[in-house]
Amino acid sequence: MNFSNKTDKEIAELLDQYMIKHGPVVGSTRKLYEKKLHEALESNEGKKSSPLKTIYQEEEEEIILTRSALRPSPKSELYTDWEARTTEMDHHSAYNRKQYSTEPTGHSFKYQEVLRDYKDESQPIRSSSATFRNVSHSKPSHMTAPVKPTTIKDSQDKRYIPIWLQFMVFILFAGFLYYVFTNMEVTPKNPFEHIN
Amino acid sequence: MSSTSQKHKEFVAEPMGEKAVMALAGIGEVLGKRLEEKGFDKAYVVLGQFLVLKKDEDFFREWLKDTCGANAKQQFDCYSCLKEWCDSFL
Repeated sequence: MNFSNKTDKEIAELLDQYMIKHGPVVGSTRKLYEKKLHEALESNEGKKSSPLKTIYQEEEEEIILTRSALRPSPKSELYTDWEARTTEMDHHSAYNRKQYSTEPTGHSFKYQEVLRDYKDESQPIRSSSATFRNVSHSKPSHMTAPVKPTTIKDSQDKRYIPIWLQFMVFILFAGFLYYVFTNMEVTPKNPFEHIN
Repeated sequence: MSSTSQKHKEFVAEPMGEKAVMALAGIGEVLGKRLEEKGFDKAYVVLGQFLVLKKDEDFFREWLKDTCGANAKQQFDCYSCLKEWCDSFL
């Protein structure tokens, strides 16, 4: 990003945005502050690239889960995918919202890629996530504008698995664990029996 | 034993007036010439830059490095010299 065509005031505002304490932007200090802004931008891009990796992987897993839900798959596989998804969602929900707001077209492009890979069932799907990581790096990330609150609602409305189904699965799993637990009860024996 | 040089002690002892930029601690002939070429021909002009950068150590040291190629020790000597001068006279 080129800062030379910005006014001194705009440079000062950009420095404030990046929380860089600064003095007045004058002739002798301008070059230094432009350099600082370049560094801040690069460090921001560095931070962004890693969560992008996990976001693409996470979105890919979501899509896989919907496809597997349609097919008759063993229940244990469904549980593990769901658990993996929810744990990752907890960590990256904030980034996920930003992702939806800034690059919606990229998401649909990826979906087609996953469908194409899914048809070839001989190879495991997760191995293709590496290709998506490479794709994510090629996209230039721009400065983050303030996140709009409306996009959060949009992401929550788009559920791939309805919430009632999630609850039912959870209750079934809890019931299953309880059943196993009750069957593990030991019949009480007298511990003070005389040993012959 | 004090860690500041003789140059430093001399500079911070009195108002700088019209002293040359080479009177600053850490600034020798080579660096002084480079600063003069850039327009910083007196110590008070460098002081001006120091003040405009709000006496911030990181900014000032980076500016010094970019302007005349000072190494870490020279940067530190110049910064601490100006800082102490400001504490006394500003």
